Amino acid sequence: MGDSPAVTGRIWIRGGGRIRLGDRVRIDAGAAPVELHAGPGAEIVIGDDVHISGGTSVEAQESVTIGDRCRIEAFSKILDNHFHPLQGDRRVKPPSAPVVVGADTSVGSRAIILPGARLPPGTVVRPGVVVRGPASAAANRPAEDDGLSSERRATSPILRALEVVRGDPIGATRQALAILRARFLFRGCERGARLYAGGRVRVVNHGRILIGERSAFVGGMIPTELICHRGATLEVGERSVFNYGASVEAYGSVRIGRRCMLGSSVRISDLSPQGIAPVVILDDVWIAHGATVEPGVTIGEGSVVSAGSVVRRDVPPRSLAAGNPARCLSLGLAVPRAARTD
Amino acid sequence: MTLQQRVKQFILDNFYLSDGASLGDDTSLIAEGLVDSTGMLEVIGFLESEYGIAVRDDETTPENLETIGRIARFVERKTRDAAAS
Repeated sequence: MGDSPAVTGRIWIRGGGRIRLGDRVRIDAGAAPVELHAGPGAEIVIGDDVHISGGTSVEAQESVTIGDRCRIEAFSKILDNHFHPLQGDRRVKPPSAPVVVGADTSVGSRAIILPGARLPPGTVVRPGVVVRGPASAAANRPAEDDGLSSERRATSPILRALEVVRGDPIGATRQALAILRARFLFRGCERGARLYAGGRVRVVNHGRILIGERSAFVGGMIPTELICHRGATLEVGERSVFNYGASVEAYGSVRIGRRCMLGSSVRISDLSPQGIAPVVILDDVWIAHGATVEPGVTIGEGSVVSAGSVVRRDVPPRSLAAGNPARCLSLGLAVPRAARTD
Repeated sequence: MTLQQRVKQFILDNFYLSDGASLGDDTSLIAEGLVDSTGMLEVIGFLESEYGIAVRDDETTPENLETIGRIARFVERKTRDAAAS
């Protein structure tokens, strides 16, 4: 840590890795927390005179470097790992691709800097923009087989939610607490067994909320929320996972299938200025960080919505939706053949 | 310039290719890592503006777009269908 850092508000520092701060780093988390997450063996390096605004999340599984005098605006996200592969076993984490943000760069609010991105010094990233790495970066590479048994894999952070941890009393206690917390939080809902709430979840139920067994709500710096208005139905299938800050609101009907994954700060609502139009997310859909699904949209089985996208029309099954407004591409065109399992 | 040549030129101009000569009509753009998912969306945008066609979501398949040869056949079919209707 460098000299005279200034912090307002709360910072979430997580993971077993290293975080190096330069001199006079200012973190203004007054309005919303800031997350610095360096996984085991990973490193986040923040240069001198860097300013980071609230709601921003920096996640390193290997390495994220932010150069001197950068300004990182509110609710932006910088990460060096996609956390899930596009196809195959989505629970297996793909390899990381380090991120370098050059000195004097400004990253606009809600911008997303994806794995492998290297921003030259002085870059201006406009608000809401998604910056990706080169084509050969982690996105399209198949997940490496890390040789771990499925039991070991089950102890990765999200999956800890779903499997019984043996020989790990702290993990087991945490899990028991999360299951009890879920029982309390979802007490007014029709729910299956073994729901998991790793952190705060705001549940407002004036209608009918159904949650399938073993669905999980991962904790983090922003609470997840499920809001169901009078006469509405909000349905979540079994074994779906919600990351922190995901927000689902039903005025009429929102249905989320089985084994879906909603990334952090994903927003789904069925109310538009034109009225209520049901949202249907079918089984095995992954909606990545910060994406918005608009009213009336159906997302087909097995599809992926990329980070920061805004989905305005239906997404066919096994497709990748990207952009604002999102365009779709068959997953077969997004994943090299070698990485496909079908 | 033939359709194949124009598509090839677009890919060479817009994506990192160490060796343009290795890009044949039957080279898989995806498997060879020449074009990623967002790149493929750019290719589709190029085809739509260049040839005045509309590519439907369910047409974005490897069968239609994986190689330059397939792209050319797909665009020819689309323009023929558009002219016929």
